Amino acid sequence: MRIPVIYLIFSSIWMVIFWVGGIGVPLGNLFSIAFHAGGWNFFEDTVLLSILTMTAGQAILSTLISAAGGFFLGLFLGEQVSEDPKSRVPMLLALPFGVPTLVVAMAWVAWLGRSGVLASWGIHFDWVYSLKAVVFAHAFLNVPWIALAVCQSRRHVPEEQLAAARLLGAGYFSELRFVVWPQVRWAFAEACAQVMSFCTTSFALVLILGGGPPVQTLETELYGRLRYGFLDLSGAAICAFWQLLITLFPWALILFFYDRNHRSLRPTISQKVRPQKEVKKRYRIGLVLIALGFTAPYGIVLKSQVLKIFIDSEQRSQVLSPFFLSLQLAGWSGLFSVFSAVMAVLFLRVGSNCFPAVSTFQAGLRVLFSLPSGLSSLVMGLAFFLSYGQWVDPFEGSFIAMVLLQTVLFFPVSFRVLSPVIRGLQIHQLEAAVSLGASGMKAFWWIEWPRWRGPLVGAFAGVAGASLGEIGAVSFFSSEKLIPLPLVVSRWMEHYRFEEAQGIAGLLFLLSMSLIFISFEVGNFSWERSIGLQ
Amino acid sequence: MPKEVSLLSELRVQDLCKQMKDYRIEADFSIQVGQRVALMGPSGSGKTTLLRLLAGLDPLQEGRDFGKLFLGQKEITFLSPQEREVGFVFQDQALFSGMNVLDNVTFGLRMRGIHREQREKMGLEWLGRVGLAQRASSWTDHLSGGEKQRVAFVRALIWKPKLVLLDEPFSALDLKLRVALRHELLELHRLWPAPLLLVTHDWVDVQAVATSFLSLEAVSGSSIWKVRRELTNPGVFE
Amino acid sequence: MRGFFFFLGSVFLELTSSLFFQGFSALGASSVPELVVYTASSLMTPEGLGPVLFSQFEKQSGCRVRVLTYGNGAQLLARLQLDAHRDKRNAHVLLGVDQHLWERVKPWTESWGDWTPRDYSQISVGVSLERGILPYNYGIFAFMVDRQYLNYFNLKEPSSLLDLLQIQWRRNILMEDPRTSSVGLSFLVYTQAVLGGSVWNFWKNFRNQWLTLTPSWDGAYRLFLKKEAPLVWSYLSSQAYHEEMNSLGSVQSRYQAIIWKEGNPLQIEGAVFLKGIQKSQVSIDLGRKFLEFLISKEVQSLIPRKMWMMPVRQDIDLPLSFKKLPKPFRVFALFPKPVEIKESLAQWNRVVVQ
Repeated sequence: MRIPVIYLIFSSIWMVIFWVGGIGVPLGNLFSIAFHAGGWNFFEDTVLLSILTMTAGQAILSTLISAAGGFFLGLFLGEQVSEDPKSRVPMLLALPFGVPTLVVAMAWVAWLGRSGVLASWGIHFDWVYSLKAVVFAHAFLNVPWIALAVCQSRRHVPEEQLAAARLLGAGYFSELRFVVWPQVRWAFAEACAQVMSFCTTSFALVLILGGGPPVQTLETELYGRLRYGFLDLSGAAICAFWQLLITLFPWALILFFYDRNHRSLRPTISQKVRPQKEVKKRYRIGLVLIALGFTAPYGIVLKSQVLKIFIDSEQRSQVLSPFFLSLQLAGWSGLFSVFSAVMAVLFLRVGSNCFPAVSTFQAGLRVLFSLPSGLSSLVMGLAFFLSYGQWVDPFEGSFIAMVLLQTVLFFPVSFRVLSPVIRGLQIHQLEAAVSLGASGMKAFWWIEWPRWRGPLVGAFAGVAGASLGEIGAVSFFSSEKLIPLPLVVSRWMEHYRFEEAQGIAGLLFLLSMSLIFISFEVGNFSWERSIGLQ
Repeated sequence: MPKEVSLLSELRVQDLCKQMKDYRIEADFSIQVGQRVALMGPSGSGKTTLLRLLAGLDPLQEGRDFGKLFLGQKEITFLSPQEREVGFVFQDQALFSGMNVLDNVTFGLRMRGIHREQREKMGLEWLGRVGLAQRASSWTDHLSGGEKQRVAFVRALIWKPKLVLLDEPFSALDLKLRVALRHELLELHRLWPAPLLLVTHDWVDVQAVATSFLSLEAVSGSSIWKVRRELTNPGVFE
Repeated sequence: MRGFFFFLGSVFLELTSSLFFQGFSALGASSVPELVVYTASSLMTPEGLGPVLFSQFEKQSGCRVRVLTYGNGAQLLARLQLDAHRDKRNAHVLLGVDQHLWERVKPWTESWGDWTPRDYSQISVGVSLERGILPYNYGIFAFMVDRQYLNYFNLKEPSSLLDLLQIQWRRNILMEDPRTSSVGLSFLVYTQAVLGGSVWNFWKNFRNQWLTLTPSWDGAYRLFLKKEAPLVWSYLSSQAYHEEMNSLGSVQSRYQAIIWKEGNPLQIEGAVFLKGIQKSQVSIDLGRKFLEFLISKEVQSLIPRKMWMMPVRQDIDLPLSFKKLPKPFRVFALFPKPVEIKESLAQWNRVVVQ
């Protein structure tokens, strides 16, 4: 049974619009202006070289530490929850992803700062506002992401394979090396590549926790070159170029080592569902607490100020409009991003049936689809502004520009979630349904839709959560009528309203947590379903 | 017949009583060296559970379950699966997806410290016996059902386990393949005649392969499934 | 439960689809005369000067004021440059240019010609700028100190620039990045003026003294109020803010400004006409009226409590909290050229960043 070619045509058109209009034209325009503006004297700029070294160094260090922690934690949790399909642990591991980085930075200052909570208990950290603090914050934020990828892969390693290995004499480490590792390594590698992207383009954490130069990244340097008077498009473009190179490097490594014939990217699923073992309640609670431990520290931003925002009529009136705008922006960005990801996965799936080239370069295309995660939001915002700003009334701002910009930036998030779903397409079941009289659409609705629903909601929530905290890109298209919540935070802080600004940060935190929670509950996000086991 | 055959000994299951969630299994039987015993019973009666018990994958719980398991003089009741030296052929083969065919079949030898050259030699030899030598470097994903089953047989036997357990090894195969694989199993068992327990629903399997059979039957009026020894089948192919 | 969420989702789609049509309305479609103003976002907070200023001006002149905010003054300059790239010069007035930015903004500004704003002579001599930029507020930079912190840790207040290099101040200072903050840049320019040739030696040692370098004033001040460090480079008038907000009334606030013999630098903020104002006589007239309104007594008397800065008019009665501010020994009004600023920042980069 083949998916109709019309889907290929439609998805191809969308892909062209997305990649050309959303990335190609803006970036091409920006690099062209930059080249004409100043040339590429990068290697003579020793300051930029030192910033590049710092960017790559802190990103690699943060990724290595996150990988080490996340891998073993993921293995442990995966082993424990493999017998408990309804476990909340994966959802809890996903929660930190939704925390805005501004909130993360504020939280760590509140915990580790000289006047922080730990200092009040007599525990002092000398290394806050230094490279150590940045690496620590990065690692703490990203360990659960890697753990989640490894946990999800580990829990679906067929129990029979592990049993067979044990019976053949394998101890724990041999099991790990010969049976588990081949089945988790690609998910692990891809998660590490994503973490590397994040750390490379890190902005708020470096600015707030880094203590200033020499701890700075290409992103903070970009900020200076674009935002302070001496508009340096050439320098900004060079920073963006190197950022992209650093973030693409791990993906290139993955591509290099990935063996298409090995098919080890495809999970091997036993069709036998093992009877659930009774997991002790105490133990279950312990696992939940471990997973929750990576989000709990950020809760320190939740203070009475959050409630005051809604109780105090004056603050409420100032916050309500940005609040609803942020929700709407998050909603639409989520929808567009998910739609684009669906088109991308359809293109890959249907295209590989129709065109050998798509099949051959499938792995490369999947890496290409991760490319936007290596793009600076400031650079994309500027590129969009230069290319499309002439059609926008600056006093009205442009909601659609904000949505499209965030769609491009967060597309990799939704693609990552939806990509395994299409790979688990249950062709035989669809054929069975069709043979029993169901039309194509009905067969999809009854057979496939239950598998898609959860990941679609999960992808939506991921993008919406990220959108809530994003400020770099939207600032180019905001106006007095279109002010999202993060911009309100920076405004209030410029006007001595620090506590209230923190209240909004707390509100953003609550919103993003709620989104992720709702996505798991409404979507009943189930990995088994998404890869065709149930 | 290899010299190590003399090290083989009988399996003795003594007063075994395993409590499951909704039912209980009771068993008391033995399997001699060279014997191939078929285990039959209705679905849900605990056949696979019994196999997993013998393999140590679902161990007896002290205070709740009773009984002892012996391989010769050695009690294996509470030994780990690694220490029991049991070869197991799973219903869906459970081949390692991260390895090719040769690595799969020689895995048990690798765990026992056999050198790579020796492993490869033995692996190719055994694969040759089942007609798969030319597939040694293939990934297991690329094998047909019958080929996977053969690989599973070789993997379970090549390292000379003290006991061999098979969980419905022919269930997903067509008639022609079943006949062929029964034959191959018998050939392999001739090479290494460890006590063999085979779970099956198919009476033809029993007649073709087994020297005797056990059945799991419900004790009337209770939720107990008891292993009952049937007569030795005189029609078996030796 | 799921049905409820799906219903919510449908309502969301209905209500928000109209937002997509926002942003495409053309400029100048209205029959009411319009004044287009670029200004810093801090002006437009509800308690800021902007809402009162623009609404009052609209009433008085019968026009409509369209405001675009864009971060701080330097970011506004970046916006002007981007507008030039896109060939979109629609704004009439730029509000929030300080003396450091003035030279860089000049290429995008329109001169006054023969026109002089009414009450121009009321502006204090010390804060006068050249014709073409109208000062409307000024601030004096100073270190703000947390007295309670100093007393608790037995630290002696610095009395000169070089005191900042003492070991007791190591990682006890909050400073702004001169590359992204006008407040930070003012400190850089100030050190150059005071220390002369030894300035880069100073900065080489000073980079070990700050706890962190924030991209803007608000980041540093927030950390200061969180008691991360007892010293922050800010405005003299920050003391007035705390004085007024201090719930203990007459008891002195713990946050105070310190002055020293080397003097304090000055920041003068002004308003300029942009090239876009030339498009019509109506916009020129409105622009002139607006600038005059800025230095009117009505607006100038709002400056202290709305902007926490000083008014430029001599005849404005300051609030008590402002009158109680310490008087600097000397005030530096520094006007470096853009190329000098660029060189300074480049050298600063080499000394501090590498």
